[in-house]
Amino acid sequence: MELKLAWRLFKRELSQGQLLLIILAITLAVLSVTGLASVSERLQLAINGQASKFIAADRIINSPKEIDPAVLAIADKIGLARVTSMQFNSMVYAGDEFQLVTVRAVEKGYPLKGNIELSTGIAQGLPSADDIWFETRLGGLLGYPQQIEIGNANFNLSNEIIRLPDAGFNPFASSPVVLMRIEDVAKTQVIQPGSRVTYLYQFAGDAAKLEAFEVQAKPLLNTSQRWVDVQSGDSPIASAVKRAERFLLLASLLGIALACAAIGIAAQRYCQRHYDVVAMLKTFGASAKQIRILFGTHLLLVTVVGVVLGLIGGVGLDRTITAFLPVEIAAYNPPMSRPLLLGIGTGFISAFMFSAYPLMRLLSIPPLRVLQRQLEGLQLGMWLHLLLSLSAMALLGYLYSQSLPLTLTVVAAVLLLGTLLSVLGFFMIRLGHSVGMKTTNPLQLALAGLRRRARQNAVQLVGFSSALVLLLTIFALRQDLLNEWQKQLPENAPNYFLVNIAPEETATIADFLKPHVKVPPVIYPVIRGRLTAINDEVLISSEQKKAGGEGRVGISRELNLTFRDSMPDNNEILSGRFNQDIFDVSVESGVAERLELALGDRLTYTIDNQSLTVKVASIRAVHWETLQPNFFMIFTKEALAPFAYTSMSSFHLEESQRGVILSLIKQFPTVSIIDVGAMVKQLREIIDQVSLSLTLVLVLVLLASALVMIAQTEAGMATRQRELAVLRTFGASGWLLRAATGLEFALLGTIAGVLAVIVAEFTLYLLKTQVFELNVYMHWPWWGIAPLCGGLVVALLGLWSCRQLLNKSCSELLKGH
Amino acid sequence: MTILNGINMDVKQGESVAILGPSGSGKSTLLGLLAALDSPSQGSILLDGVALETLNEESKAALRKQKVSFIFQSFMLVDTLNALENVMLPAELAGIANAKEKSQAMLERVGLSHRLNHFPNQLSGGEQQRVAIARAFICEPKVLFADEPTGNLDSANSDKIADMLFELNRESDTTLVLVTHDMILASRCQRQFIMDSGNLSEKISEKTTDKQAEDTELETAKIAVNEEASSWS
Repeated sequence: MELKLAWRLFKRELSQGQLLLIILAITLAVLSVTGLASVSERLQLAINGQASKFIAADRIINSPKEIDPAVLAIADKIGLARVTSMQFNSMVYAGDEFQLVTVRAVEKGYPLKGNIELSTGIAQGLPSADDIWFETRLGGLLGYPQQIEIGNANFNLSNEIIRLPDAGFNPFASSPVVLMRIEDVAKTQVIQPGSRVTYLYQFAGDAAKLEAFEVQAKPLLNTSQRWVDVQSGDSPIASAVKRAERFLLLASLLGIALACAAIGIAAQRYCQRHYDVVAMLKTFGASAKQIRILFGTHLLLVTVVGVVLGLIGGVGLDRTITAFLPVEIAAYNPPMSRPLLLGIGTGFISAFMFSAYPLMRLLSIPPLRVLQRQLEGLQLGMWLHLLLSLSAMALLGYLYSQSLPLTLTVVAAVLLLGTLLSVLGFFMIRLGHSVGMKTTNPLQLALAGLRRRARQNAVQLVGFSSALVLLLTIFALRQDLLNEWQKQLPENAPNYFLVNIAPEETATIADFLKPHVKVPPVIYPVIRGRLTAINDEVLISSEQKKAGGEGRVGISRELNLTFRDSMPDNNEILSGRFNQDIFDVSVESGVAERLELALGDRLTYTIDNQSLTVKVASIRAVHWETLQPNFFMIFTKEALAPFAYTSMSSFHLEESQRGVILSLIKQFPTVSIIDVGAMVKQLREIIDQVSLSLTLVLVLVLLASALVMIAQTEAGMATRQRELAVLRTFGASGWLLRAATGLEFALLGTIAGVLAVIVAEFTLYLLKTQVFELNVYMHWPWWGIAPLCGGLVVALLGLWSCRQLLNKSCSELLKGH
Repeated sequence: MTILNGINMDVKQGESVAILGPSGSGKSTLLGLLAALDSPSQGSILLDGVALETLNEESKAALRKQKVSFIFQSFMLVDTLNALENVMLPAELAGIANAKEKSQAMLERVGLSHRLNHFPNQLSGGEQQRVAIARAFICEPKVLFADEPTGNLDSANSDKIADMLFELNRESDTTLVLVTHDMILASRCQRQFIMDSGNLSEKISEKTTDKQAEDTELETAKIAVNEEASSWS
């Protein structure tokens, strides 16, 4: 019977539009979660997919020895595609010419991701037996021979490689690359016990398989074996992807929080609307159980409809966005199960947890309310409601983001907002006592209105200010992230690197490039040297340390050292002064931290078997992502004068200027050219995709904010109508009432604006320091703009939702109430 | 705050009783107590032999379901349900079979057979109160409590509603307890009580004295109130 009654009530209320607000709120929450989750999963998949082309696989195990076959067996069992390759350095000979090259020996199936670009186009397959493919500049260095010798074997130079997908980004890797079949390695006989070889095991497959593989295989790796995925590299892509992912998560999280607030308000309204019904049902003898079942079912029906609509909307949103995405991203189809489950979870958890307290009050409405209309149910205290709401929000947030710092940041922001609001609410009630209800001055009328509705206003402020906080936070972060990325990749970011420039070629190359480039390239001398001691304390290797050796662990490889008169543009001095004395050195902050260096420390280097001791004069921050040549150590010209050097540079060329490169190769055959254009382009595409999703998130947040605000103003309509009726009856003019109503909302909006700025600055501080690693700064213009816009928007919204009441005649108002 | 003082009254089965008094005199409080909607802080109320103060909320609800019904000044119909569904509501709560057919018949009795599917906001005040009357009688209550049943109606509608109320009351032998400040409506009841500042006194008129004399033989005292003070705050 109760079920039948619940269904009847639901059907009727639905068709009369009374459930619109709560269903809309649930729908929006579910829609944003489902939609954003699936869009962001698609984007993540696409971003990772694109990025994985740079490592030619999804995962790589990098090992100095062949790895345990058990690891490969795991991959095969899981069903991952895999290829094995070797990489080593070797001399190649062509007649009298010889050159050190990096040999990449690969097996069939390589590359798992991306393509090998040859001068003749995209490669199909691999070099045939006895053939090798070579990097263009090797031809120049060896005088374009037909055949070359590697170890004991001869190979035909059959194709020029423009780019290997996993060539990586290392402008210092100066030896040209040759590609051969792994089967051919044996006959060269260059690999002997003790030879330095890197084994690369590349794997590809879907996310679930990769995860399973990671869980099972990673523990089997030893310390010399490195696990590589698209995000573990130190490429600029990795940091862009990581931040974008976090941002999407955060934005959706805030979206959820906002939609939850809308549900909370709508649920309260929903329950208030049923106070009389419950009182009546009790009067007619309905038992507590009957009422519980009745309203439980009713709310369940409301939730189900909201969830179903939200899921449909979420899928629709995903499809719409996908339609606007480039084909190569749209082609990635992540499974919908997680977004759908998240949506369903969000709908039910938020609907029930946010309704719990209002529902408890509803069920406790005394039957006597039929006679004494002012009676309401038990007052359990707001703290219970807040606790339930906050835990719902935190639970959903964690479920969704699985990130504790993000969830805690959101909770902290909510708590701060709550505290500010309660302090403010207290003062509003206190201070407002003196304000009377004069019917001549709209401002006084508005103030009186604010005070009379103090409790209701406190609730409204929660809605208005949380909507504003979210808007400001998302807006600021989106802007900061985009700016950051733009800064890293300006329009003319270098897309070519030149290395191995002989000192005598420096001037000619600079002249050659001058007419073709907008910004004259900076040419950096490069000298390789090893850091051997700090303050006369000899550095040890990490192996020695492990074996129990005493002392600081040094850098295991040779460093690229440079000399300059002035500091590079994109560097920033953190402490000390840039090289003043001949034997000063400027050290990059990361290295300084790792080696525990301080200003004044003496560093000893071994360069060309000679020793050089310098003093740390400054510590620099370097933006590694800028694609400019960057150096750990910068010396003075005089200090490095005794040593031989080559130079390097980077510059930007348009797509149409490829001819320049060809003539550069011809004119300077020994200079190595590294084309990073494709990587820059990819990076830019990724940033564009992410900006799109950020904008989308912003739009959704805006929608949710509007919903919250409308829900807020709707909630106070009945009492407002009563007041307007009274004021009208006592002769208040239409203008006065309109002005007072507008002012009242404007005041609320302004207060909400101020609160929002405080909370948003706090939230941004937490997010930037704890999650995003961005620079923290105050947004001073907001302190003016937010209250102003808050006031304006809320006033307009308030007037808009009260427009019918304000246009009603006195008798209509009285009748209505 | 003490609202009701030393109240003693007995209402017998089938009697119609009016409680008169100015606003704020405690009429509605008394009605709430009599109808088992509220509990007295002191004293005792017997409804059909059951001491209300001994019942918990659930038992009071069960008692109301079986024996009591209501009519309110503001009609108190569920806005979102139509006339028929409003009448069916208590019948369905009480698990009465054929609730729909009975409700239809009841609405026909009050002259609203053509308005079954209309919603409260599509009905006039008089029509809404007729729906409320149909709803009140659908469960054949032993006692009907009416709180200013004509308070929101014009005089023509008031008369019609009053006629209907008394007619149904007579037909179904229901005890009627009516709170009003309408003297004419009150005068149609067999007994009138005056409530003033929480004190209740019975107005003895010739008519009621005669009626009372007739009824002295009836022994079933249906409502008995013995209240020292009822507090409500």
